[in-house]
Amino acid sequence: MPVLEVKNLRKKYRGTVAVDGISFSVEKGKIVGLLGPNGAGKTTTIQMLLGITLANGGSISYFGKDFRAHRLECLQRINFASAFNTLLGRITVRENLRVFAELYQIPNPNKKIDELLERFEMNGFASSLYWGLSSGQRTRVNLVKSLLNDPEIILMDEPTASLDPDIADKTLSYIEELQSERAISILYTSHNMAEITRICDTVVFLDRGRIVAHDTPQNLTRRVSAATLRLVFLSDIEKVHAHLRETGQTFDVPHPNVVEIHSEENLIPNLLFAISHVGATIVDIEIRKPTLEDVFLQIARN
Amino acid sequence: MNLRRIYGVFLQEYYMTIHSLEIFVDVFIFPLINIVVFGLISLYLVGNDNSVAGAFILLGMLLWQIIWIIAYSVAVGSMWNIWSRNLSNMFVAPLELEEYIVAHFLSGCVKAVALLAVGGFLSAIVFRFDMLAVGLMSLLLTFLVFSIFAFAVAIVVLGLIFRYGTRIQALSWSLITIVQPFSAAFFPIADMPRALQLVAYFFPSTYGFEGARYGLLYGDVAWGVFGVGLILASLYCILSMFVFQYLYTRSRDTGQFARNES
Repeated sequence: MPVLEVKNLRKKYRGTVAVDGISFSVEKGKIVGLLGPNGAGKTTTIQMLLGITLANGGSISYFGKDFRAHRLECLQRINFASAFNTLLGRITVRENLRVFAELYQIPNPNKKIDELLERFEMNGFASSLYWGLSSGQRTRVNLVKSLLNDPEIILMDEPTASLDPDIADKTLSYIEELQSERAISILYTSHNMAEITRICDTVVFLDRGRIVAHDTPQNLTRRVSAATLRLVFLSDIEKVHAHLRETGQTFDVPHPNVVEIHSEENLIPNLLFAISHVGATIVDIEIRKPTLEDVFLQIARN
Repeated sequence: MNLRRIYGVFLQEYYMTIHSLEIFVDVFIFPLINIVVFGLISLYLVGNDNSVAGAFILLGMLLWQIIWIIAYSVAVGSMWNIWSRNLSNMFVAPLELEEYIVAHFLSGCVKAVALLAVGGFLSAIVFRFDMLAVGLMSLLLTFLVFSIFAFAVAIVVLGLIFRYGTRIQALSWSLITIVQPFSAAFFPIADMPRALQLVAYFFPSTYGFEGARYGLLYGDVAWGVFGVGLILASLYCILSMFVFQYLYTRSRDTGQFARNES
């Protein structure tokens, strides 16, 4: 039984279809990425999954129970973390967490808060006002808040947005640890394709409210066959240009001694073999394989 | 309703009150300044053989704080969550809307009692006005009428903010003050212009002030006046709950509830 199951979910705002009959599920211990360009319907979907926006149709089930009919029961077992939602700035970290511990009816709340703050290396900030924390520290406190009730699934809306790469990497490591230690399911939205590729088991691509692709990151990148072969030459680059023109290849010359050839990924070995026999001296070879970003761009542009 | 979750929201209100200078000033300092100003006016009137008018004015200002603080606490208390982008966090926790509202109402009641105690003490010491002369039962009934009425107004304001966003947030601390001139707060309703009297009779607050003045003058409980006030306040409350529920549902339906924080 999936932890979260969405069937034919729809949302319309004054004639504009924001979410158009999407269906997907999140299995136990899996991380599902929700991707799409701006206006694709990601945020609306998350809001409906949390109950703060009402759907026009379809169904949402957590743990096999209808969300609408068992709202409180479901919310007790799920949680939410977002870079766009903060806690109260004027009260301390511990006070903020204490409020949520009461809302989730956590037994022995102070012990739980201390354990989690220590786990995220934030115990030194328990008495600090929330607004005095850096973005990275806030993210960690938000993660602490999202773990107070030992949720079985966490909905994360761009949790690493506006973090510097080092802190974002640390945050992702925390998330990976959580998944492996506790088998938590996560629905994860982000614009960062590297993040999605790194942590998600499957990816749901949304565009204009519809699911346009749903697969593992690896399978999705296989959909884009184009790759780029970047070669740096020591001399005789004119011979290479001539060969490429003769064989009808598409290529760019970003620098006088550099050639970037755009080709199908499976044709690159033959291409490389042919160029090596032209007579020019190759000093560097780089093959750029398609990434999730290429898939994203292809979907967004289509 | 779950008491622990109500306690959680109440705790949040408590933390905000002790940490936020604005709340402390709005809820304690400004009301106390008003009480002092009206106390001085009261002293002036008493010194000019208008002792009854003087007492009415100070009593009116003391009791008005009940309405102001409870309405403020319910409406502005939620604004802090919106301003901090924390409202979604609250409502994605297993929290019932009723629990959230009740906690803010209770917080308002505690603040109102605290302020009445301080204001009453100040009036007794500085202005030689004993608020308890109204009678304990009359005071309790006045508190009941005012708190139900303030709650009714505040949740409509809150519903409007949920529905239409923070662009109308000024209503959260200003709408209730519109009621004051039509509530015969500082003088008997009989002394109001006839047209305004007709309006005043529609506000439960009018009956609270009238009942309190009756207690002060005659040392007795104006059961009939308070009865009308309570019935009217309850009707306002029931109606406002329907309006609030409608506005809240529409807010979630249109997506405005989530957009309030963006």
